[in-house]
Amino acid sequence: MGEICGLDPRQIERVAHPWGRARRCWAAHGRGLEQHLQGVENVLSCINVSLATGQIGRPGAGYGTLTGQGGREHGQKSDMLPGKRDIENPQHRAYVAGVWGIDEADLPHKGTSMHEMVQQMARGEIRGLLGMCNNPLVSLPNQPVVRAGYEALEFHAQSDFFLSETAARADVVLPSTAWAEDEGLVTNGEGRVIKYNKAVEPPGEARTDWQVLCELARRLGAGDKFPFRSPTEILDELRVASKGGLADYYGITYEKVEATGGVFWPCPTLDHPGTPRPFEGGRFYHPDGRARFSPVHWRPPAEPPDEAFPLRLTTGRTVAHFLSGNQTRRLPGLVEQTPRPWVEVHPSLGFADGDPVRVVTRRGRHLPGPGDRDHPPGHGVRPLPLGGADRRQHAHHRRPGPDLQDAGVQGLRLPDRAGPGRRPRPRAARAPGSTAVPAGDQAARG
Amino acid sequence: MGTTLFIDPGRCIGCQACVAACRECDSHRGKSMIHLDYIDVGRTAAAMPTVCMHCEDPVAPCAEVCPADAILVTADGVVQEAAKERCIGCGNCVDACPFGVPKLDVAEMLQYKCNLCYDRTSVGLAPMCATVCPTSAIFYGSVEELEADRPGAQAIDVFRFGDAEVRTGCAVVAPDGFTGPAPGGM
Repeated sequence: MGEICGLDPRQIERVAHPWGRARRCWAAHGRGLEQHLQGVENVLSCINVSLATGQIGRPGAGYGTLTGQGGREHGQKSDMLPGKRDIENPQHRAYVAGVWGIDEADLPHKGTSMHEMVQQMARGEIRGLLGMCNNPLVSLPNQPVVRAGYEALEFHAQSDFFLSETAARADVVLPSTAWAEDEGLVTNGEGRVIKYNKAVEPPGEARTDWQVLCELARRLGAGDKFPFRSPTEILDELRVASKGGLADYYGITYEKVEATGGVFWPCPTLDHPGTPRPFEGGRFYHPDGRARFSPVHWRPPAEPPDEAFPLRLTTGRTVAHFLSGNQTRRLPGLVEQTPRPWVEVHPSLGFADGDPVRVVTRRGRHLPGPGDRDHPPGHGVRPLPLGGADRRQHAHHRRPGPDLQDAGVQGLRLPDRAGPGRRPRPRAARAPGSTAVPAGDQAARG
Repeated sequence: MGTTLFIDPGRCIGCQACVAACRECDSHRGKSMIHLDYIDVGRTAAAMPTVCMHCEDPVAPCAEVCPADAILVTADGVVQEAAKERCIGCGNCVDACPFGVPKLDVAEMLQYKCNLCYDRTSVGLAPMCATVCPTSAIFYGSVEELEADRPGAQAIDVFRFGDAEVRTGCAVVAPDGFTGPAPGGM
């Protein structure tokens, strides 16, 4: 393990011992662990360790991903129905079709992931697209494929509250509201359903996402299926649609959320207090009530370094920018804090802090600037995409099974320095190991 | 030490949330009054936020050297920023502060510095930086509340600069086993 990770085995033991001895531990991770070729295995490993040490279903202990909840329980994922129901399960399909007042045969079957969708778009299998508040032309890996997919669309509508790079190339852009311009319930990363209140009126012609969808349904002749006049009416439908599912929201109401500050799902009845801690008392969802370990096997990265690409590139995030940066790249303070991407490489590669470099991967060329944080020789780090023509993620490896991408590890070389004077010199290092270079090409976004 | 800010450099991860929150204040919008220093970039992620320490003894040096009497120390010990209508932009306070806190806006010829979010703390609210700090490296409360939050924590409100000692209204949390005064000029 130490060899694979490039760690001294004693370092691993130093972390393992306090974990093993502690009575209560909580494991949490974000995207860094997940967006790998072996992201699923990484996550399962965390769960396995938590299970083996008895850290599930007890106060002060547990496991959680910080990347959020909500859409899955509500049925927004293309293989799910509300309440974490399975879109391929005949009973689940029949129940939800009944709630929605449609024929079960009209309910689509399992859809595809965004990564597959762009390929279907390129092949002409998806010809029209309504995108809501996503920015794949910055955030998805392997941009040439993504771009080809969007360019092949016959019709593309996009709704967003700022004109993202993706919205900018759409045929129709629907201006939608930001979170402070609407009210409703959201589920946070700990599974607690909380209420957002409207703080300001939406500007101009902006409409809420739900108003956009209801109006589209009306114009498509299905307005009777979307008769909602308020977020509470939508909640009332979700409560019924999720009733009896693993993520049962039936007992969650505005009144209860406002009185308690938040209700944890599942909450199956109106007098149920919610479930702050799943698997309490060691009862799991399997029929025998016991948990299951999921053995994992290590596989090497899909693209190991070779002579042409001798370095390993891993990606990371930067605190100043959120997701594709469609919101945060508009805030001068945050742009000043982190104006552009950078790479961090070992000093032995011969670069000085602030040197402009050209980064070449098997997917193309990129132009960040380097830093010199303490990464091992033969290793470079680049933050996840910040948007703009030369800063997109170009690696994309698929694995069988759950759809996660290997944006994490790819071959890299730093073949040459950009010519002197072509890039402004950095002003000062702003974050540990980072090199802040003035945002010469910020204006190029979109 | 009453209710005040406690800075615990050992907890700071350099995320700049305090800087971003400070920058949002209406009285100095776009300017952060917090100095966030990265100790040894490339070798450690350690960082150190510096806010106004609100010197008590001797009386705040910045106020003492102000020729325009622009820097008011309120009865509750908070050293205010230089009053705009009095400040002549001489920069004496910048030179006098042992912690390097006040800064001069050369274009405006005005001094800016942390005033402990006086609009908030004077009505019982915590300063913005303390409300957003994800690790509580910036903690607002009483010594007792600090002690309850992290048992055994040692708060130090005396700093030594050469032969001189300065007692401050805000405090730092010292590493285990360290007893003051804290070495100044860090």
